[in-house]
Amino acid sequence: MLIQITGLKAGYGKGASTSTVLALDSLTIAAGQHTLLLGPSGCGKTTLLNILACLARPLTGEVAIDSVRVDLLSEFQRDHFRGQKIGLVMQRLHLIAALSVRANLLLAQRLAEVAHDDSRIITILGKLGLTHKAKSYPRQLSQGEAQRVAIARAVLNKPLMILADEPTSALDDANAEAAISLLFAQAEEHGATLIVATHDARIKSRFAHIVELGKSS
Amino acid sequence: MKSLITACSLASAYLRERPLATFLNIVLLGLGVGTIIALVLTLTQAEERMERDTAGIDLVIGAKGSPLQLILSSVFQVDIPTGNIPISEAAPIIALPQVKRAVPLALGDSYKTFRIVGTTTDYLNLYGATVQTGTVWSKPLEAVVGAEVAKATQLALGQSFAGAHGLSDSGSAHADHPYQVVGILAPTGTVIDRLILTGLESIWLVHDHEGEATDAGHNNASKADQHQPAREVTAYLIEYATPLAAASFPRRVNSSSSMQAAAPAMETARLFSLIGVGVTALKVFAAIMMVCAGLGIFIGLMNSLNDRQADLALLRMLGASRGTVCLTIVAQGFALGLAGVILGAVLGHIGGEWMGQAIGKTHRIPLTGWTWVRDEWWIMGAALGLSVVAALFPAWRTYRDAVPETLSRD
Repeated sequence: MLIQITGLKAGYGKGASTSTVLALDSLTIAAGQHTLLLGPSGCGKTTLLNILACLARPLTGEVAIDSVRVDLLSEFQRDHFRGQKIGLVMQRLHLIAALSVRANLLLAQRLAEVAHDDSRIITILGKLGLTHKAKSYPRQLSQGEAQRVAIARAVLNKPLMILADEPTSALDDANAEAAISLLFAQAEEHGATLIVATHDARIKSRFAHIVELGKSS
Repeated sequence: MKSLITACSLASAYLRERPLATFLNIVLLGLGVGTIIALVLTLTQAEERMERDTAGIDLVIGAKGSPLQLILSSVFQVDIPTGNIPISEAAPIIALPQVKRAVPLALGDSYKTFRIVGTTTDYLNLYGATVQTGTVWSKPLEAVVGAEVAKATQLALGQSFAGAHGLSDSGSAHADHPYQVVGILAPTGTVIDRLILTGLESIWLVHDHEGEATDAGHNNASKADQHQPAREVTAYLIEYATPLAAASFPRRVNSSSSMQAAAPAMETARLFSLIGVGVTALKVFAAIMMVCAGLGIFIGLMNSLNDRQADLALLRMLGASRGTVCLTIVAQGFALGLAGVILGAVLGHIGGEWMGQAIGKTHRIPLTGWTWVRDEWWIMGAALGLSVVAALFPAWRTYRDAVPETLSRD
């Protein structure tokens, strides 16, 4: 099992004054089981994504990723785990403006403390049609190009899973279709499990496994 | 270690992204550090020089007038003498048991602006000066020249020259009494390097034959005694036999005669307290510049924090720990500080050299910028520390700001 969640409660605050945003009795996702987390704004899908990305800790409950109880890890260990095992594609926050495309990817290798592998960077940029943009800076990229670089970065360190937060909601139909296809293709190619959180119903048909959030509560 | 390298390369990318702000911060810090370093260089060397020049001189006895002027003229050889004193009046005082050594000085003539000083060989002993070539004077009108004088005037052994009346270049020459160079002194790093030394008798001989017509402008002249060959000197440099002498001896000189006594230590302290106002103002100004630079770094980092909050969150997203992200901020402060300090050191030494040349020309104190004093480490350390401190609060803010809030903000 790639992901195993039991008795999860997540939200904000500490001690008695907590407000629960998300309650999930049980969720399991097998390796290779691409999953869509669907629900309206405020249903807690971003919260769930943050927990899966080891960015946030649940209030209660157990979260195991690849048999590691990430809710029990220290913050430093979670940072390290995230860098090596999880590729993130966020709706905003694509790239670091001060660095070139290549340097952005290099940074992802460095921060995850994986071996510096320039040929892998070149290969991935080539597969995404970005070879000629390697030396460009983020402001010189179109939005689509920037997102492709972000996807390249997400798969660079061969993660177990790719977490994507609203990757398509800002895009028109054609671009949304292209983006989700690219994510699928890259996830398949690198053997990663794709988990997408969105309220965008257009891409529903692409997923066999859909978790609908915010219905029970 | 890896995260340090990553943080440093990110910091350098961030600084290069804002070249103008980076440039401004470095220049501000550099100017502040440079000003203080130039001041410290100049003051330290001036103080060292004064210490060497006053070593072994506990008191100076000379004609009444400004005590500071007496010290400046007879110890540092920069000001005009206060007048002359008759040996007959000074003799009983310097014969007192409190006096270990009394070196007489007779001033008033010069050669190409270098002073001709009539004295005894005690004056050489006072500064530990040794003759490099030739011998010490033994007869009137034999002269020994200081190392710098020899270099500047090209005076060589056996050569003759005529002293000029007064301490400037404009005095009339004593052409009828030429001096002969019998010795050249080894460099001592003291005032003696810039002097031409001769026996007291030489000065008396040169001036005994003078008519009253040349009286005007003569610093050495005591008008009342001009027509009779009275034996006069300009000052005595006194070394006490015991430190206790300082309690009673100066008072005795000041109250019981037409002479005055001045202590070099006291007068130089007074001199520094006079210069001190200007120096303090400059130091405060430089410190303000440094604080402004620190403030500039602080504000720059705080601003970039707002602009780059997304970036910093992204770093966390990519697996950087809080510490690494925090380090990128501190590294920026450190890099700015280091660049500013290096610029400041370069500017400070160039400025020190420039000041040295300007002061050296007018006051004949050799100063240079191409030296290193220990206080510079403190200044540079403080400036670097200031830069890092300026980065601490932004770094702490970065450390504190949790990632998910930034990531999920729409």
